[in-house]
Amino acid sequence: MNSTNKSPRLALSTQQMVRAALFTALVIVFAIIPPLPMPFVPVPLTLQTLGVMLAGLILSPRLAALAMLLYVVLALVGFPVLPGGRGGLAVFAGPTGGFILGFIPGAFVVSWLAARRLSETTTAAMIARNFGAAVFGGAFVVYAIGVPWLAMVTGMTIDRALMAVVVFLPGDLVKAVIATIVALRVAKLQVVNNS
Amino acid sequence: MVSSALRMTSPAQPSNAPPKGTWLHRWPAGLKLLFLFTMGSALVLTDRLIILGVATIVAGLVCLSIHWPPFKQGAASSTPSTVFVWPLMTLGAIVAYIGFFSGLEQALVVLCRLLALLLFAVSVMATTGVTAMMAVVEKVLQPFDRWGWLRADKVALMFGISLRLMPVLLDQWHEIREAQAARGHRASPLALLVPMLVRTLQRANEMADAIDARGGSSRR
Repeated sequence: MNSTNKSPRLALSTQQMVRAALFTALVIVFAIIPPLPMPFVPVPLTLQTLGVMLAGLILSPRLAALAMLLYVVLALVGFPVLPGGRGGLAVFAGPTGGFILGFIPGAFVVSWLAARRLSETTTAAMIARNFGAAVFGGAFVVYAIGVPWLAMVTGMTIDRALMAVVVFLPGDLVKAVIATIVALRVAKLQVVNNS
Repeated sequence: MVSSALRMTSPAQPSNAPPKGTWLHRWPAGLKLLFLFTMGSALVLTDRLIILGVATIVAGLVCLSIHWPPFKQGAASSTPSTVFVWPLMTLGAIVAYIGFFSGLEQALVVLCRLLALLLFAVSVMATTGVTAMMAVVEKVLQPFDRWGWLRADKVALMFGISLRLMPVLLDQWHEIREAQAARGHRASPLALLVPMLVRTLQRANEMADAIDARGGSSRR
């Protein structure tokens, strides 16, 4: 372990705090940079939900949720940290508010289901498990909050709202693959020694 | 406009001492953040185009008054100002989508609302140092700290790190892109994301060590 500055109330080391805060900054960057062109696929890759999956696959559940909570709070205060330079309560009152709130439990669930230590499992098992974790937490959990929210704000039925969101599923599957491979390579480079 | 707002908090300038003071620099940070939050909430409550239009014009004037004369290049940064084309395109796409499904007036309402908020936010960020914002966060959270819910100083530190490091990570992203391009790689997602994550985690370790060495997060 690293720092021993532990308070009895919020027992976060400095390293854990900085890590969570840097992932918040990373998700902000991913939200405002243009999508990446992909090999073989004509559709470019938007990065924001990839950031949610990566936070889950690399940070502990608590830190992943904390990083996303900080992101949501920054957006809520009004900083333009959402795609399109949006921010403020206006966004949360809008149709996409639920998806953004869903990032918090989403990242938590990804991390909770994921395997982060290469020493505990084989590479193939880790890939399979992390892919499942990224899809379940990064897509399904986010939809589970975003879709009812969308239905509520726009007055659609849940079915129609679900139909409107299903188009994003193939992209999220691709993102889960990419997040899994990136997290594996990062783990192999052994930067992630704990937390 | 947006780029110079971010540059204000980029490493070229000390973030807690804005070099030149416009009228908005002299406002207390707490008041500016309260104003930003109030605007973000108030502009949701109305659908009247006239009110939102006036808010957008006011926000535009505030932004212009800070960045007068416009289009002046500030301190050097490796981030090209074209990165901000994409957020504006996203904004345009959202408005076009709403215009297609709900009509022109609704599209204008949403455009004015989002644009006004963006311009106010950019103005506040350009004229407020991160340290000042951290002090506000700490003050606002003080009651919760007293009830034992959280540590206000730690939350403020995390808040500050995110805001301060966002432009730094943006620069890092462009550095990596340029480095890969110089090697003749076509921008593959993996070739960009792996170094981005590794460098960010390394940076986190270094910053944590630096903070600990200064006793940063153990004020009590």
